[in-house]
Amino acid sequence: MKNNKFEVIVVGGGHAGVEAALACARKGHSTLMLCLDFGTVSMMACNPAIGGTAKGHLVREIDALGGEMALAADKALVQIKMLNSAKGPAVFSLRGQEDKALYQRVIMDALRAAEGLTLREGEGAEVLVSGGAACGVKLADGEEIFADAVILATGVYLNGKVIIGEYTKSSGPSGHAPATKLTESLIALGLPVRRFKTGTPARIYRDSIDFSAMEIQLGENTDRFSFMSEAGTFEEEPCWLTYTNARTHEIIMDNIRRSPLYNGSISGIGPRYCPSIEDKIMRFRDKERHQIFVEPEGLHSTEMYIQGMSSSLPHDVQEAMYRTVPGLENCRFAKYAYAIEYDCVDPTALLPTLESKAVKNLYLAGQLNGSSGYEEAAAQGLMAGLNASLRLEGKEPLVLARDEAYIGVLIDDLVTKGTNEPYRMMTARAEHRIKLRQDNADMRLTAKGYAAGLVTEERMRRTEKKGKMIEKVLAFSSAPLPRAETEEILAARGEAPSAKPMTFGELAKRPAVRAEDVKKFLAFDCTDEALSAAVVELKYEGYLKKQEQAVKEQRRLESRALPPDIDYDSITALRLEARQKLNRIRPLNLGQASRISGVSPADIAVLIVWLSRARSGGNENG
Amino acid sequence: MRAIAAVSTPVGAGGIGILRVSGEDALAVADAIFICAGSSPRPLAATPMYMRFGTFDAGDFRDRGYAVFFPAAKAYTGEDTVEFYLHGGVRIMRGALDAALRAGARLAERGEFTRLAYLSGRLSLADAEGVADMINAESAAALRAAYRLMDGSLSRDITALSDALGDVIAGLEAVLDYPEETEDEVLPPLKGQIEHVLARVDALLATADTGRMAKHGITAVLAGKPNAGKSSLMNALLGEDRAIVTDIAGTTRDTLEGSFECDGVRINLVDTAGIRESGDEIESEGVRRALRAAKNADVVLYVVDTTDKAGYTCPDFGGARLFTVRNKCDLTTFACPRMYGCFAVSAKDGRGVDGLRRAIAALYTEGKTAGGEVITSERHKDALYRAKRALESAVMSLDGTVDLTLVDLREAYDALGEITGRTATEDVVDAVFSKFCVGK
Repeated sequence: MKNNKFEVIVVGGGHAGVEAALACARKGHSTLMLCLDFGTVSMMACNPAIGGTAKGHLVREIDALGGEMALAADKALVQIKMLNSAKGPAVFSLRGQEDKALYQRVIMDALRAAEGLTLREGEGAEVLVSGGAACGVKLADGEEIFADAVILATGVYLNGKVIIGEYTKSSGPSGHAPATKLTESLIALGLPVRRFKTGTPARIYRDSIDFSAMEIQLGENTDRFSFMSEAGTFEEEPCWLTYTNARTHEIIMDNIRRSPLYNGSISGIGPRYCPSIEDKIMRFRDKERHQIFVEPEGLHSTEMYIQGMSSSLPHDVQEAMYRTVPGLENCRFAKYAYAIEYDCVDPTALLPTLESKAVKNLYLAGQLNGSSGYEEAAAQGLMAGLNASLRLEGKEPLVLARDEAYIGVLIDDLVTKGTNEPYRMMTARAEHRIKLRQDNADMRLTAKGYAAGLVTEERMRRTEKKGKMIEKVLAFSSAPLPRAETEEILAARGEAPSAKPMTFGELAKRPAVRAEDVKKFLAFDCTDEALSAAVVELKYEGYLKKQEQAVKEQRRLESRALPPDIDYDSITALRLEARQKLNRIRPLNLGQASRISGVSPADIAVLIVWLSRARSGGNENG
Repeated sequence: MRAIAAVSTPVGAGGIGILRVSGEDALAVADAIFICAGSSPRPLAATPMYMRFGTFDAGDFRDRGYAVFFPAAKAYTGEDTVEFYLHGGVRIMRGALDAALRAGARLAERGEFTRLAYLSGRLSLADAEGVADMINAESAAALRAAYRLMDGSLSRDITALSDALGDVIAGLEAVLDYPEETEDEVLPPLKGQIEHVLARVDALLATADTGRMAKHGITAVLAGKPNAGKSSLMNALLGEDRAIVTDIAGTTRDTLEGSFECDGVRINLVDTAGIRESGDEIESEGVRRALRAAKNADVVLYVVDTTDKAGYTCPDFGGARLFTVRNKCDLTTFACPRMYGCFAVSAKDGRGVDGLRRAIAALYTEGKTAGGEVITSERHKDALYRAKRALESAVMSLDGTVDLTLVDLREAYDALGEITGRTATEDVVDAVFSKFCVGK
């Protein structure tokens, strides 16, 4: 292979870039992954955790489709727990504390093991375009490398600017060099660029913390992210909980004018969802204290991550305010908190495949698209990689629907609604969340990943086997059970006794009854994994049916395509805002149109009328 | 979009007939068919909201009349509209409509003017239904209920409930997404809020009977033994000779209907065959129908002959409200209007009849309203029932797992939204506007 010609070039080696590069290379496409510095490959620049509410779903879905994040996260665990375990299986979410350095090493090993993947340090400066399609990348040093598809996953490096108090510096995260040239190229290609900001808290030396003043937080360490990982053991590290207090808040208020966010030196829009401590205090003035989690950066790491205390205040204020927190009275700073501003692209300029509308074969993924979070980035990287490879193979793209995956919700939200602040995945965004559980991500997606050519035979066979076992349990649900035993279980779980003998299904449907309670009644062997998935299906049966109606309604709108050449300005019954939004975003169908903010149900009704008239002869003039 | 046109007044000869044209090119249509009077008149476009005298040119004939231009911002439909007031002859109006169609307009569909108003955000779906109810109202009570609907008071009420549910949903979702930040501090008030919405939905549903009576009237069924004087009483209540009256027992074979308005309420009377065992097949069928009608009535007027020495035992009419009416009290000596919990009337000389009318009408006013609102539409009632069931389920599931509660709440939110059109699907909107007449 020549050094300057690949099938795919991935610019960026963060969580998005890694998934994109691995997907393409593992599918047999010669792939170049370009990054500024090998030391930053899949760096966890902020918290030392993967997963969390809704993000845990993303990790499982990435895994089900054949991505790498879950496998790597399982290998670098220092603690793992299931969040929301009292709030229903649909919103169970795994979160793992990770050894950051180990995570990077695990990923580097996977990259090096991928055949056909070339890793190279270098700064992508310009996307080369020929005939409206991307054909390569020009490096900052002038070298040109060619490819059939280009995937940009530049994270927060584009014109990155770090801000700490009155001090600003052109920089990527953790002092790594920023990329300064690519933005101009994107603007020249017609991609709308804007500026977002995010931030990270300080890292404190472990030996300067008094843990006896904090509450210990341990994991359960039973579950794993990947459907392919076997439960095993690892050395656990605890996390610690402490709180801010009135004195902390007073120091922040006294110095608020020195915060770049409030004195005007940060112009980017920050995420509402993990706000800086000064944001929290300004916004929730009556809250007496805020939670602070102290988490290890890795196993026996010398540095601890102070979750909940991200800030862009100057060093002296940070020191004063951190030291008001119980356990941090004598803390020493390894790294100060900082905010970072960066260029990103308005994702409504993308198709649902993450290909740019302006330039063919150019795909964008990750924080560049205005998202925030490792998991959101990895999910997009995987989908961009899959779609770029499917394009090279001349196959249909893979677009996940909103009722199929959180990934579908994530990408649809970004390309349809756009975002005015760094986008974080939340369960609240998934209207079909009863269906989109973390326990059934494999059942939902593995066959799709297999069809797309990324899922291995081994994984596919394993998923099929589990699926068959679930079917078997569901078929068993009408089996009658001995009354004495079912009553005993009901009583033990605090459920009301039953008026008549129960079937397997009826017992399993009782809210408090668990999979382990019904296991002994099975007339055949079944894995715990398949049984608990089947029990959840049984419990949710009625609700799943309800949701099926909503899914059908949505599918119906989804199936009504909007011609790409509609001039929405000529449809005067649409409200002005709707006309402008529709003209800009150009939805592919009525379903997508209905989700654009600023397009009302009445506007959709107008479009329905317009479509039926356009179909019935076209003798209308508007 | 191309202008739509329709005659808005009913078909038939009248003093005035109204042709209405609405749409972006309404003025172009108007200019082609209407010539403003005056030596050098200003164009219609220059005189919005003014009544202009002129000549309507239908091509094969002309008429003198008026035209008014309503610019989009002031028009009912939210689009440029021109109304023409012509002489209301059948042939004139048909010709005028043809002229508008030739000038480029398209024939409006049923309810399309109001549909445009809905699509342009002028009206909510429920408001639009109020417009249809106003047109179709047959009593003062029906008009009052329709006016409240058209005026948007139900929409405001429902929107407030949806907003409250929206807050609950957002609150619960915050609990799911921030498990470490929230828990006990958020849940209890949410439950209270759901119950508050549920109570309000219940209150609205409780008015459905009253609303139905307002819109469709009170159904009163006359039932009793043969020859008790049911048909005579029907005629007396109606104030006209509607039913055939003879001395022969079993004259009325089938049910017979008639209606009148009393105290602003419409009362639908149903006369039925006298109830007795009979070998006559036709009469037996009449008796079956009588019993069925009685079971669906708002009130059964059980008529007895007060002079009948045999006394009476009232048959089972299901849950229907019962008024026992002692007829022929002109033949007795004691004739107080209401004796022993019964109505004493004489269909013959009319005594007690007006009191009975009023008592039936009063059934409406004793009905429930929720702060003035009454539910008059089956569609609204159905949506409220679905919301109620979903909310009840939500209250239950809140003690279990929050993920299911959110499904219930979303269902309730969508059901309420169907009433105002906030979440209505295409089918619902189509069904609502198909009930309109053309020209509105």
